[in-house]
Amino acid sequence: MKRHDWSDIRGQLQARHAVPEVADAAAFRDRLSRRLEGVRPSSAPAPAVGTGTLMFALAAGLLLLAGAGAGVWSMIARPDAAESRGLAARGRTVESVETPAGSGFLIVSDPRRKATMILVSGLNKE
Amino acid sequence: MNQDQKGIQEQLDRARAGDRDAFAELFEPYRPLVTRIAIRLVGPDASDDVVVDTCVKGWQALPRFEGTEALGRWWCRIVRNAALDELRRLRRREEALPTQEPLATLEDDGLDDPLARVADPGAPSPAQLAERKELGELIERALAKLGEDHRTAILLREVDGLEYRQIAQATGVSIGTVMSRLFHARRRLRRLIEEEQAHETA
Repeated sequence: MKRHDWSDIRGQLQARHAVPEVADAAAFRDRLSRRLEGVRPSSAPAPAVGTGTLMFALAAGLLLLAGAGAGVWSMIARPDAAESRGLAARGRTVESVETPAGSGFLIVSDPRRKATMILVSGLNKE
Repeated sequence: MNQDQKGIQEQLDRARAGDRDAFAELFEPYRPLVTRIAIRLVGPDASDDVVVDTCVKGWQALPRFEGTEALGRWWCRIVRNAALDELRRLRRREEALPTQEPLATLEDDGLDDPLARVADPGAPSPAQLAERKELGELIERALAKLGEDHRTAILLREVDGLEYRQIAQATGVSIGTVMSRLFHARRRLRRLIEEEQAHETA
């Protein structure tokens, strides 16, 4: 059995898995510019965790603990406004909560399934 | 501070002041690197979104970037976070995880074109081309059997040419772990290729 040089193996990997040239810079810049519309840079270093954030985290934790095995489920995600609207359109009750530190919680309830979902972190705003 | 660093510092200052063009200029040299990492972490289909998300995260985090860290490593860390977010979204939507499908294939292996050899006497012989093709297929099968971490490390290093430090930032592990992964990945890949070869000749 022939033992192949690593350089042969590397050559084959490069031939088969090389990433194509990245998209045109101008097109990418246009797309990026549109995406950055209305997105502000965070103006300061992230503040220390405040009382409000702790209270929300505590409430979320309690809700999860209380709900274990009782039809309550959770999901860590990064919801955006469109998803919030989509959830609402599907009959969920959506409550948006923002902490003083700027992070967000969405508390989503599904009355039919008697389930509650908490979506946290980075709630986008429009 | 040399001229390049001055230029980058000026772009950083302008971008921090809200100049999106300056920010795009700042990102452009790192776009191929970020794109490669995104492709390895989430697959080619979702990589475009991850690259844009990386920029958005970078834009938001820019005021906290103190310039003490090399920009390349900063982007490597951000693209990893963006990729993890994307994977969570994909899982949530119960879509398939990245399959690391071959991005480019040898469409024309030259086996059926003897004239090409006449035109270029230095070109590989049909036997060599067939051997290469066979090796390529063996490697593909072996690569598919490699664990996700090992496959990602191998591709980032051997195909994309990333430095150990960049791979460490992009995959969220220490440089030591990257070196260890690469060592074991190469050894395992070679063994798998030999197994495939043995299987074929049996």
